[in-house]
Amino acid sequence: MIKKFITLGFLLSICSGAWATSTPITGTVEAKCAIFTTVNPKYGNPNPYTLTTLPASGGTEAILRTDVLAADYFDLLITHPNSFSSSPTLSDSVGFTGASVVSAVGVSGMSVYETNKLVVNNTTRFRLLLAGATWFKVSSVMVYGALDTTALPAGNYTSLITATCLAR
Amino acid sequence: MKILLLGFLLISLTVTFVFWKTYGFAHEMTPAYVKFKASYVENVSVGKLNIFNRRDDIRFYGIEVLNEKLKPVPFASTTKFMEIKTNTSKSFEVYIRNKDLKNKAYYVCTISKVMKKIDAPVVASRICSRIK
Repeated sequence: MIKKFITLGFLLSICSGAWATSTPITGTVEAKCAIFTTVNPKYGNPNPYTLTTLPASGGTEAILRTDVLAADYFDLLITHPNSFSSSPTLSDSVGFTGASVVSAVGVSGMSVYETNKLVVNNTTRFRLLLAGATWFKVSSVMVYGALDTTALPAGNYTSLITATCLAR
Repeated sequence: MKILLLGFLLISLTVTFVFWKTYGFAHEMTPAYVKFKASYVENVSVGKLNIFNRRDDIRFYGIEVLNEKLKPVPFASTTKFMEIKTNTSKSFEVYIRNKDLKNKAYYVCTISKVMKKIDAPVVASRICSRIK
């Protein structure tokens, strides 16, 4: 009889041990900004002296997305190119233009980002006032030659769009 | 019934596409506000940060310390360039002289380093944590 009680007690202790076992999942939510490249840009070459990301000219505009987890903690700075990071040797002048605009918003209040944006030279600053996702479209156009008729040398051309999430 | 099934399939495909399109290429860094504390080197403070690479087109990231006008400030780290494979994170430490920390240093940033590509403007992502 005593042996049975001991066995039962032993089994129960094992079971209670098993019940007490737990696997905690921990996580932390903190203010952070993530930059996504949703669409990689590409230059189209509609004529011998122009490279452009405009879709009508065969290019693809960059689409960037930012996710912020806390309201008004970050600014986003988008710099469109004003030079090539790599290209064949260019003997004539190179003229860059470009723009960064809000293309879609996750929260309706984010539409003010476009009206409140600050443009200095080739950098556009957006204040990310609300938490959530925002999409930005970046375009770049390069015209070669002072008279706009000089043909670009054949080769590979690379330029850099920089998106910076800056903690306020 | 067929219309319902077709609708369900279409919605599933759309959700999968959106998830795939927006979840593949991110660069994250924490904390947003980095605190520096005394290091084992006299008059030098250390801050610890964590970077997460979800960009499958980028493997290398550089570390920068910048002032308020985004100009470089001297710093030390075990490496100024890190290789971070896609979908992995890495912790790193940044050492800054106390005098720079008080007067100059404002942001600690990580910037993606892009390889040369053909006929393409490339997106470089930079995330800057504010020094507190």
